[in-house]
Amino acid sequence: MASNTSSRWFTLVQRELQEYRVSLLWTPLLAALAICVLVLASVLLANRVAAVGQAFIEVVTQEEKISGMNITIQIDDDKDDEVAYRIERTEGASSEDEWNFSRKWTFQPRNADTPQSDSEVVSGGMDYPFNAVLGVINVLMMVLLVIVVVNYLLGCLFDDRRDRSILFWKSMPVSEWEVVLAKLAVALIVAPAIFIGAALVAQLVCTALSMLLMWRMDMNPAEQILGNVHFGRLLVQQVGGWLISALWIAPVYAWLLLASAAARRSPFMTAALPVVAVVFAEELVFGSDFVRGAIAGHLPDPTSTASLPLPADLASLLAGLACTALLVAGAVWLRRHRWEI
Amino acid sequence: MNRVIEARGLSRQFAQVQAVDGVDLSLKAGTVLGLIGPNGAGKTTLLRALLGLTDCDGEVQVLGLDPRREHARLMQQVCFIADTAVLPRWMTVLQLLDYVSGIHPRFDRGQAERFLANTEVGVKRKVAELSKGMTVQLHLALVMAIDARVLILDEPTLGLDILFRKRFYEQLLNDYFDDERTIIISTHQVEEVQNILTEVVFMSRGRVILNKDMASFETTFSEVHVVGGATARAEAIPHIGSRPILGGRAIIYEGVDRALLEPLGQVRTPSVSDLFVAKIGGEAHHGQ
Repeated sequence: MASNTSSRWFTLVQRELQEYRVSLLWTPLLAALAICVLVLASVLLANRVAAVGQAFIEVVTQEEKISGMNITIQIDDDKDDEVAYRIERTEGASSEDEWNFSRKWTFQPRNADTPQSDSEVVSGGMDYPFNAVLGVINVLMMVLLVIVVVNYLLGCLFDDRRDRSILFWKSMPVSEWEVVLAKLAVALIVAPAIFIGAALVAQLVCTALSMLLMWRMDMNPAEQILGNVHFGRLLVQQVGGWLISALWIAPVYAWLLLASAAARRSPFMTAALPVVAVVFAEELVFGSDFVRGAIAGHLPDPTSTASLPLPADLASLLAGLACTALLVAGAVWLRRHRWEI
Repeated sequence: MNRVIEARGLSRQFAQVQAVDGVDLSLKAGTVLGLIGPNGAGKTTLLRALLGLTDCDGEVQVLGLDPRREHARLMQQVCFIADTAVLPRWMTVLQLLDYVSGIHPRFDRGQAERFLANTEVGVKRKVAELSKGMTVQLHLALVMAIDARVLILDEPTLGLDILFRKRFYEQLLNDYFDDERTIIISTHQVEEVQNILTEVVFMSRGRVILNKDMASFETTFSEVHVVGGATARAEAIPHIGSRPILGGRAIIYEGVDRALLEPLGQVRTPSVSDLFVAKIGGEAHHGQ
C-alpha cells in the first residue's frame, strides 16, 4: 500500500528507465567504458613512444592562460598516428568554442586526493589545464546525452499509443500531468545525472591512468596531474553547466513531448516540419529571422555557453520557460483528448 | 449513494457516425452487467465514456465522480481491461508488479502473485514472450488483486480458446465478485457469460434496445418450440423473433402470458443469445 508521493514518482521514473534501459543506462555506461579503454590504450602507447609522452606532459602541465584545447592542437601537429584516439577527440572539441567549453562543461567530484591538489596548484588559480582535458570527456557525453534524450522524448508519448498499451497506463490512477512531467523530469534531470555520473567515473579513471603514465615516466604524478586538476571546480562546472543548460533547453524538450503526443505517424516529422515551415514562411514573407533566432538560442548545444553567470538574454530564457509550461499543458491535453491513433 | 454508475443522455458523435446515441444507464452495487451488441454498436465508446477516456455529451457519474475530470482519482476505485493484449510488451512480469504496487494504493501484490502461481506465467518473462491467453491471465491477476469497486471488461476474452474463456469467467466469479462490486462485461460470446450476469443490456447502432434484470427475464420472455399445425397459430401471436429448428420453429415472445403459449408446444426461457439475435435481427429489419 505504498503510495506516498515520493514512491509514486520513483515508480514513474523507474518505469521510464526500464523502458529505455538501453539508451538511458547502457549507452552512457558503455560510452564511459569505451573512453576509459581508449585512454588506457593511449597511455600504454604513450609510454612506449617518447614523443607522445612528452606531448602529453605539455598538455597536462602547460602554464599559459590559453585553454588546454589549444595546446592539444599542438600535439595534434606532431603526434604519432598511433595516438589517434586522444587527438581525434580533442580535435572534435577544439573545433567548437574552446574557451567557453572548458569552462562550462568541466566537472568532477572531490576525491580523497583533492586537498593535495589544492596545495600543489602553481598555475594562475583560474586555469587547471587537466580540467580542460577531462572536460572533453564531458562534452562527448553531453553530445551523446542530447541525441539519446531527443530520441527518448520523441518516442515516449508515441510508442504507447501506437502499441495501445496506453489503455493499460490509463487504467492506473496516474494523471496525465504526472505522466508528462515524469518524462520531462527524466529528460532534464535523471538522464543528465546518469550521463554526468558516467562521465565523472570516466574522468576519475582517466586521471588515475594519467597518473600511472606519469609514474612510469618517472615523474611525480601528484605534481604533474593533481597539481593541474581541480575536481571541485570540475564538478561544479559540469553539474552547474547542465542545470543552466536545462533551463535553456526546456522549451525544446517540451516541444518534442508535444510532437510525440500529437504525432499520428512520425513524431520526428511532427516536430520538425512545423518549425521549418514557420521559419521559412517568416523569411519569405517578412524577410526576417526572428523565429529562427529565438529558437536557435534554445537548441541543445553541449559546447555552447553555459557558464555559470546567467546568460545576458534573460528575456529569452523566461519566454522559453513560459513556452515550456504551455507546451507541457498542450501535451497533457493531447494525452487526455487525442490519444487514439 | 446506492447508484454506482449513473448515465443520462450519453451521446458521442464521431465524424460521420453517431457512436452512442442518448444512452441511459443506472447500476447499483453487486451488479454483473452484460453489454451485448454487434460490432460497431457503440459498446466500446460507451465503456470509454464511463471511464473518462473519451469526450461525450450528457451526464455521467461513476461512484459520484465525473470520469472525464477526475479520471486519475476514479482509477483508484475502477479497474478496466480495455482490450486483450494492451499490457506493455517490453515489460517483464516482475516490472509490471513493481509498477502497479508502486502506483496503485489498493493493489495487493501478494494476492497477484498467488493468482499468477496458478498459471504458467513466470515472473521473469517479458509480456512480449507470453501467449495471448497468458497475457490475459496476467492482466486478470493484476486486476483481481486490486480492491476496486467497479470492474469494466471490454471484450476481455476475444481470440482466446474456450478453455481459457471458461476459466476466465469462473475465476472472475469465484475469486473476485461479491455484492459490493459491480462488473460490466462487453462481449460477443454471450453463452459463456449469461449464467453469471444479473443484468443485460443490448446495444445496436448506439442505442440501448434492451435493458433487463436477469430475474425478470424469465417472466418477460418465452420461447415456444412448435411443430406441425401449431406453427401457424403460434406465429399469429405477436412475437419478436422466429427461427427454424429441427422439425419446426422456435418462436420468441415478449410479455406474453405463458399459459397462453403452453398449448402450442414446449415453453422455455430463451437463451440470451437467441433473444439477442431476435432483437437485433428485428432491429435490422426495421432499419431497412
